[in-house]
Amino acid sequence: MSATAREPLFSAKNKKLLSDPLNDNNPVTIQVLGICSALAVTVQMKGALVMSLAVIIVTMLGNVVISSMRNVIPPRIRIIVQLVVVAALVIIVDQVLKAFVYDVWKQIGVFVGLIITNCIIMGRLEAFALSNKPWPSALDGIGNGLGYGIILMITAFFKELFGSGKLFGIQIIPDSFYEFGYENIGLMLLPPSSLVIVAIIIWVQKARNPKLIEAH
Amino acid sequence: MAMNKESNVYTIIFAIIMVVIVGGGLAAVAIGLKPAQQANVLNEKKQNIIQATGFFETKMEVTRDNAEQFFGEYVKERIILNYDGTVKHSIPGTDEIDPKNMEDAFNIDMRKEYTSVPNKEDRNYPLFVCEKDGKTVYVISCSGKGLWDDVWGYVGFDPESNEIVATKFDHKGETAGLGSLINEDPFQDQFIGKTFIEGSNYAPIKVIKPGSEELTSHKVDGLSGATFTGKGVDEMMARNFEVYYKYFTK
Repeated sequence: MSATAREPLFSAKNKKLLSDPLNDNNPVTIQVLGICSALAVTVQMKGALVMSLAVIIVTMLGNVVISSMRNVIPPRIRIIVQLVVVAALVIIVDQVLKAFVYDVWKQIGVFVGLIITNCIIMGRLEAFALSNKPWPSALDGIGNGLGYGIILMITAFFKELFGSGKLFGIQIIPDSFYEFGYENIGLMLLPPSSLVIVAIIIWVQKARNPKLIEAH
Repeated sequence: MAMNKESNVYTIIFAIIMVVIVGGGLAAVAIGLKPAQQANVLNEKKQNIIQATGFFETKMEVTRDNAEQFFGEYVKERIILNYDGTVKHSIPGTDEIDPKNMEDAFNIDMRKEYTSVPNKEDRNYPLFVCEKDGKTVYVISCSGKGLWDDVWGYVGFDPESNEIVATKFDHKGETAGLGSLINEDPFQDQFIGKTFIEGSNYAPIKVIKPGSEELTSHKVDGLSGATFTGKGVDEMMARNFEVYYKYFTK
């Protein structure tokens, strides 16, 4: 058996693993996974940012762990194994946040636990990590985490701007606007507005990317 | 050696090993991080109490890091009150905080008092006497239920003017951007100058629907979109402050 040339770490194929989920195969807008937390954790950009980072870390580590175990996992309990790995990672992230960045933990502590239920993570474990090597799996995890994070940040941007006139907690819309009768849109702070924003993102994305238009 | 991954024995052994490793790992992490987490919680409590004294221009000046020092400096007495406003235990502020000493007001967890002691008559009510540059402020505390989970707060009360000088509220899980705003200054600062004493009567401070009524010294505006968080704050203040009212008017 001739030794196959080692694939470079960032080969075209591997780069695609990172970039695909950002657009053509975005987990939220195209695969419609992880919508639940995109609705709830997008009232403020700060929370959305930390949530995105936490999801990126968990998808990456989860993918790596499952991928390195892929040859020993008994197929019949593979979902349980995935769940245990993800749950353990999420608990560790939660505990570390609580110990070292207590203020951030207080803000998003409730939502960190919900990462377990984020379909993106289980989806990637099942669809990718179980049949690929650790390094591509890590990239796939980061890529999908980023793809999720981008949608979260865009949604949070509009929700925080129009819902409370702020970005990252800093007042953006000047007081003079309010004096002229401008008002924050209360609905933007509630989960339903995320559906509208995510839908608009999907619309814009599909309109701009001919690959995504389904043939009828 | 090829193992049959489909066999029951393999599956069960795998599951057992996995659970032991993961369980052990998580236990190690939890134990390893516990001291840092507990220190955070205790320092935050000290920070909140000092912030509620109103001794500092802005709350930002009291951080979790310097709270420990300020707490030792300014808290002169730590008192536990009974429901009828009488003193149950009192220890000087110079005493070290011993987490096992249940006669120390600092160790009273207001949220636990509220959730696990069903009768308000049986609960402990902590009171912190703070003094800075000759000015005395009593920090009283309260806890109750918001829309989703616990809400609680520390309130600085000036016994000379009978007015509130500062407040520090917090919550466990109120809606971000709506009810969660109770721990921010626009809401908290409304209480400055308000009082729960009217002549010789107890007059609870009401959280009202914003703009619905004329504000008096017993009313503050609630938060739009957070009616039930406001009601929770309203209820917890009415219930807890009555105890302190009895203490102050004895």
